[in-house]
Amino acid sequence: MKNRKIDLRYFPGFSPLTWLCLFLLYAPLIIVMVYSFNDSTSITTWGGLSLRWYSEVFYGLEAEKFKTATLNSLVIAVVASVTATLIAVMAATAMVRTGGFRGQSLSFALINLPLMVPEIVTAVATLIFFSTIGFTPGYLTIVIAHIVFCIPFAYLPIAARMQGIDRTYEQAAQDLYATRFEAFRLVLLPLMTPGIISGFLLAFIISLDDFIITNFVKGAGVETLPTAIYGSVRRGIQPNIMAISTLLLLVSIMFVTLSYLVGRSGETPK
Amino acid sequence: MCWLYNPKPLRQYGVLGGISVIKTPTDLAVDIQAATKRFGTFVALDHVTLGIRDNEFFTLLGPSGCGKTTLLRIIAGFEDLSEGAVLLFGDDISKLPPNKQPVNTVFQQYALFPHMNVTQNVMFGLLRLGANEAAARKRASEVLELVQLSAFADRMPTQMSGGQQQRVALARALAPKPKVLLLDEPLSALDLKLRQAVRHELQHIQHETGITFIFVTHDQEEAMTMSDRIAVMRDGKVQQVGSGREIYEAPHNRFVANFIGETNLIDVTVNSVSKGRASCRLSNGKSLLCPAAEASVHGVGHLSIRPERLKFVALGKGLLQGEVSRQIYLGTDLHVEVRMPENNILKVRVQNTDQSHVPDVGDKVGLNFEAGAARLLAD
Amino acid sequence: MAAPVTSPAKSSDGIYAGLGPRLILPTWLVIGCFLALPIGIMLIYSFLTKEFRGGVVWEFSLAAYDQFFFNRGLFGDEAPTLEWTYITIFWRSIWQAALATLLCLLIGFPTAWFIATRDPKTRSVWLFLITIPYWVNLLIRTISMKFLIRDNGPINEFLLAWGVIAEPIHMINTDFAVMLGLFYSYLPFMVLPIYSSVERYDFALSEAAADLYASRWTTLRHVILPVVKPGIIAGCILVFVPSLGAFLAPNLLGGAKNFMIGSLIEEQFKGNAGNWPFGAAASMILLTLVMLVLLLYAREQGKVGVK
Repeated sequence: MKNRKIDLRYFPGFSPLTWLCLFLLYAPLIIVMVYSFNDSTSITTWGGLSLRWYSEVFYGLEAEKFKTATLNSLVIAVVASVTATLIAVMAATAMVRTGGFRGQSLSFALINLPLMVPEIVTAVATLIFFSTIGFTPGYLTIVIAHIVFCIPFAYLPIAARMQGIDRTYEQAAQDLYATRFEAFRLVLLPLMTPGIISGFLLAFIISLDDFIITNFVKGAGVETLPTAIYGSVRRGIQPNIMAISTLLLLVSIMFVTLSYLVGRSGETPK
Repeated sequence: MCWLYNPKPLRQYGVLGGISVIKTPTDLAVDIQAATKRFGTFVALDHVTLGIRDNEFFTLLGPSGCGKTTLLRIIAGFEDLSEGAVLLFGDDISKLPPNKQPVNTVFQQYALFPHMNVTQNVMFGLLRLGANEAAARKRASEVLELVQLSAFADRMPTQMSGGQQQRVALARALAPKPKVLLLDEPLSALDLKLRQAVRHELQHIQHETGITFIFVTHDQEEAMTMSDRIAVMRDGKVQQVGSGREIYEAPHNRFVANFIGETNLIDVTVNSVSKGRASCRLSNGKSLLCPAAEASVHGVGHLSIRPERLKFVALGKGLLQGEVSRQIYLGTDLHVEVRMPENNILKVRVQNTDQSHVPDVGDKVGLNFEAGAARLLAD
Repeated sequence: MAAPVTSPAKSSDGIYAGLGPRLILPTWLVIGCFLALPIGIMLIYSFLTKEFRGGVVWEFSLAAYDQFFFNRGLFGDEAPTLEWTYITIFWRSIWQAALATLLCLLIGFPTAWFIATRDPKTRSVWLFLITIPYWVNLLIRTISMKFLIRDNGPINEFLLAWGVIAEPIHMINTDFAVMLGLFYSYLPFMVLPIYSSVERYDFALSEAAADLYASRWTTLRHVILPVVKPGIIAGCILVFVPSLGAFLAPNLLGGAKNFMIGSLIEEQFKGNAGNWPFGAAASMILLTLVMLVLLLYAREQGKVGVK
């Protein structure tokens, strides 16, 4: 370890600030997790360790509502992320491997559009749109809205991975009599798989987590997990909300970790 | 005794202008006719005309940026020609996509498919051509035998050394029995000892299979060791084509003379040139007759003399006089630099044997050479 | 570099040349149809008349924008005076977003610097740790923050129990709470771009400055910050823009008194009290603000040149 006096990388105070930052980021989450095991009905006082709120989640009064909401969230997330990934793969191939086409920069702007427009504006615009064309809000509107903002999230890791794959592999395939489609299917696609999976997982989580847009376009009938949680919270934070939050938290973290590891595992040595 | 070398005339083809293609005799595997390639305003190939014979080990040699790789990629089908044509055994292939030509490539970085093992890599081309699995597998093991990698049939490319990967790339390109094999600087990633071993192997394989090899490199020693004929290129143009010996002994111009081995350039005035012989006058007034490159002209010219052809003689006895300025000991020979009255330096190479008498620094010496050893260059 | 026109399959730029338009078509259909088009319709809506029960009447009117900027009295027949309510809301939102960005910067820069100066193995672990919270549902993060800083929440309980304070610190439903919430939501967006810039920073520059008698803080101010500026600006934009349109933080943490743009817009679409054209107008104004910031940023990037 370098002597602090001469280490040019050292700034006093930066280290404690970083730890503070980390603490600030995790403290709320950890507190929620801890309190989800709280035995008392009041969320303010500590009553001892217990799993009662978890059982409340699965078997209690509001269990049905949350179960339906979770199922909805999952179905929508699967449909939206699969569709978005497919579209993103095609878009990435177009942007990265076709050597340019008319309207390419406009397409790039379009792909990133959902990221640039504030979520609330997207929500409002989508609501107005469906209202204008007479679509009744429900499952379909939610899925469509989710596909839109999932595309850029799926696109980013896929395009990044495609960029990193040497074109020489496809040229070698062609040199060995593969058609363009065979070169894509037998060489590019397998090498891209980690990126595709990464993009899919990302899109999945984004869809699962979405609140604002879903809230606007869902209409009265359908609830997803985040909207159900929000509805519950409006009436004050109940302990079972803690439990659900913890569960959702852990699922999110698991998915992101998976996505990260998968993305890393596929590094091909050059 | 005067001049011993008369370089064999090269086959010449008329410049075409890209209108019609001349059907060539079929002992030419690859016939390149006035090939020109432009990238925007940059001219990578400038009316290149070459004839590569069947069953030949042909090398494209030149510094980076000379166009040799571009030419190779055009033959392989990865680039289009701006003008001209490329014929493969008489058929125009310049417009065909790479997967429709019976030409295979060994890439510089090998480009082995990382998600397939060695056998799958080697079988790839055969399967795409429609062979059934069993036949492809059989052929693959044959080829792996040829490159001595049978023991590695199930390994993944990432588990193999550079030299082994290179042999897999070779096997993969040979498996579909191409008519012409293209090799894009395949030895550049290997270390010296390995390179020397592989050169020998490549030559052996070429003789065994009888396939025409077109090899690209910037390493002249490689070119000389392996090739039947070499084309020296620079800035998109072919400077000279010939066997290693022809190019070394009878370089066409200053670039070739300097690029292949080392040489001394001496300014002369050319009195007359005819039928491959020239009469020149040195700056110290002495005249001599010597072999001349085609297209050499009257007036100012350069003689090329290889360092090993210069001999030390007593002062006053040689064609040239000078003073020894430097001695470099290189183990196998001694490199002696002689400063001439015109202030240029001539390099003399003397073999390191007991009998050699080498003048010391500061000695005034005379230099002599056989009449056929000096050559008038075209520029 | 011009790709040869004759046979697209041979272009050294891409082997799928020519397929571009067909491959990008689904993207255009989906995003074009369901985002770009709706935004266009929203623009139109902002120029329509509102219906009593929410929804619109297809009549052109500037009423929405008018309502935003001007006050014509209770019955709409007085001379227009500048209406400050909504402008104030927008202004406060900008101010809140800016403060949150500043807080993110003050904490995020040292964090990014610290992480970037660890050795490579540790670095990726740190980055991973910093980014994980982002992937937790924003709703849950905001709820947990609310839970934490309530009057009878864990922080206050803790401080009371240890006698540090006599009464609970009132943190919830204040501007401070909103700013904290925004900071919490978007901090990773500040850390990551700065981290990228610092990672590329050549420490030989610091060495040169030290060699020329600069203290480390001088070096920071005169050498490091200018070089790392692109990352800092990127981080600020990435925090400021979403904060501007944020909905959850002000809504859950700010309470009724802390109305921000997000809440204002959301209100217009709730049931019968809603005013769709007004909501659309407010959204358009927000969108324009955001696009302006992004355009300025893109222009700055263009001037500096692509790195």
